[in-house]
Amino acid sequence: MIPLCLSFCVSLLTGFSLASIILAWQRKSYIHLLLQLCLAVGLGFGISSSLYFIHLFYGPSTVKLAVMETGLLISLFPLFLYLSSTLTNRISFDSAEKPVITSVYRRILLAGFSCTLVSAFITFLLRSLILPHGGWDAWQTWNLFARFLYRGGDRWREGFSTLLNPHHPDYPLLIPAAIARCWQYIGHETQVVPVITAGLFTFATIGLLFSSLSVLKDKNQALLAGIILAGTPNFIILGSMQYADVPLSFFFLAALVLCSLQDRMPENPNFSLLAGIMAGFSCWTKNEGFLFLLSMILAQVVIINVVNTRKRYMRLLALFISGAAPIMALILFFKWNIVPANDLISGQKFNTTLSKLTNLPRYLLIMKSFLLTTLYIIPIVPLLAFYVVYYKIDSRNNDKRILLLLPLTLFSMFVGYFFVYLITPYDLKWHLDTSFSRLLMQLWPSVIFTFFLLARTSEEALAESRNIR
Amino acid sequence: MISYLPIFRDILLYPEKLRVEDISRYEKRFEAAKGTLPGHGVIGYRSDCSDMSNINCIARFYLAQYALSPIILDRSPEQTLILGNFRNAATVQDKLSDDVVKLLMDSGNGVKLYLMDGK
Repeated sequence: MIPLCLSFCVSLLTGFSLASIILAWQRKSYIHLLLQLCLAVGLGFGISSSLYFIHLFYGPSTVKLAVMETGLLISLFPLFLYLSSTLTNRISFDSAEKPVITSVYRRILLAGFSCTLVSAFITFLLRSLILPHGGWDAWQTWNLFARFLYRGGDRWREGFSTLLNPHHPDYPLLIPAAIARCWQYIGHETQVVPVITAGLFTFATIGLLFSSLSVLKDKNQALLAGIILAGTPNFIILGSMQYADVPLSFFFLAALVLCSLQDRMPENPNFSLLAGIMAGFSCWTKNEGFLFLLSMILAQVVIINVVNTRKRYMRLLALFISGAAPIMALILFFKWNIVPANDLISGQKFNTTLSKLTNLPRYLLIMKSFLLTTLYIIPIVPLLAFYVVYYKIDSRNNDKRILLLLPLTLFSMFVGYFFVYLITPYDLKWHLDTSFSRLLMQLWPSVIFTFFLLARTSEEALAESRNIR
Repeated sequence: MISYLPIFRDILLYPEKLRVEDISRYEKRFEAAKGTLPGHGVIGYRSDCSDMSNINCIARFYLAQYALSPIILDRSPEQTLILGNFRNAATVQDKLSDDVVKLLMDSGNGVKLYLMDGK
């Protein structure tokens, strides 16, 4: 039990210390602490899994791994303590101006959020008890890779054979390496590790959504957003099935949250650096992360060309890329040296790809599937669309960057997914049926965040209509 | 909360519906074979459920792979050492009969190890 707790604590402490050092903000309330704790989950697992992967090249050994991890933690800790002691000199963070809200409304929302969160937690727990090995993709891919890394010893590279996983032999290793790392510390395999890992990512995503909107918008919007995400059974079920789509959704959300915090706090450019690190870790989680990283860079390039403060945004983009660069170097090394080619890319032939691109029924099938699956899995979407049409976008936000960055990134992601389906070497209907609902969940927390950050609250709309009169 | 009611109902009333296979129990079938198999490498795989368009056959293959990792299972006929994974423990006649020279191990629960001829 103690090694199990220690292995998770070392990860989380590393993530928390690094987040403190990079962000260097003055935490004003428990909400700021919650936000930082949630960021620490992804950051901690990302760093630990990367270190575990690097240590494999020196021959798997618990001592070597412990030396590497504690060495990093010890080197971070004095810096963390120094920054904590000089809190008064640090940049403080002002939350958005809060509209006056009746306490009854707040209490109703708080009760709703608490009930939904408890229901989500019970669902996660019961399903994890019934399915400790997770769903199909978990035991066929993520936990299987974790077993190869842990059981394989010096021959861990054999796990990347096309015989083992002909469909996705090149999947990156954040989740398998994080699990194998804990097993190595504990000294044996236990399904508790993947269950806790999945649980931390699932509930850290909800926590991140709630805390970031509390800081950036207001607590009522944050509670509403939390209710919607925690009340999406498909998201919680995917989490309990130990699928990597939920950790991926965490990293997507974290990168977008940090970019939004950057705009609210222009004095400290490190938010962009940390956003880049989170986007990099999304690539280390699943291949869809590459599309996300590209989408975020493209969106920032577009913004640089439409805003006046070009120099400042170019600097932020450079910091974002610098954050992602070390992780990308690790991933490129992994893809170049360890694994076979990606199935979706290697399966392409010029003539067949061209014929797929000019095949209208394929476009229609994808559009139909996107629409029907979205409405089936997230029936609240039309209500959100109606809300934004009725209450409109929050135009008080005078920074164009965030108004453009979030929708542009998400739009690019959907367009990217559309084209991946269009040219898929697999049967299109099968590919859509077996994967689109998961892709939707990858983006769902980010969509909720974008919606509640950009849409006006009912109180803001009401106040404006009174002013007009 | 309402959105979770059907899930609570399914979990509490029909937990068996949620399981593709009781993985922990299924893994135990391979315990005896694990003791005989080498620690690493590729071995062959044969089953009486070999239609890889059938979801149950796919699940049985990948669950066997999950249980036996870091050994890699190969469905092609190229391997000398073959793992037989049969649903019926009493299966005697199987598709291997033409090539088999030696039955190395029979765990009694449908999991068998064979050495192949002419390799």
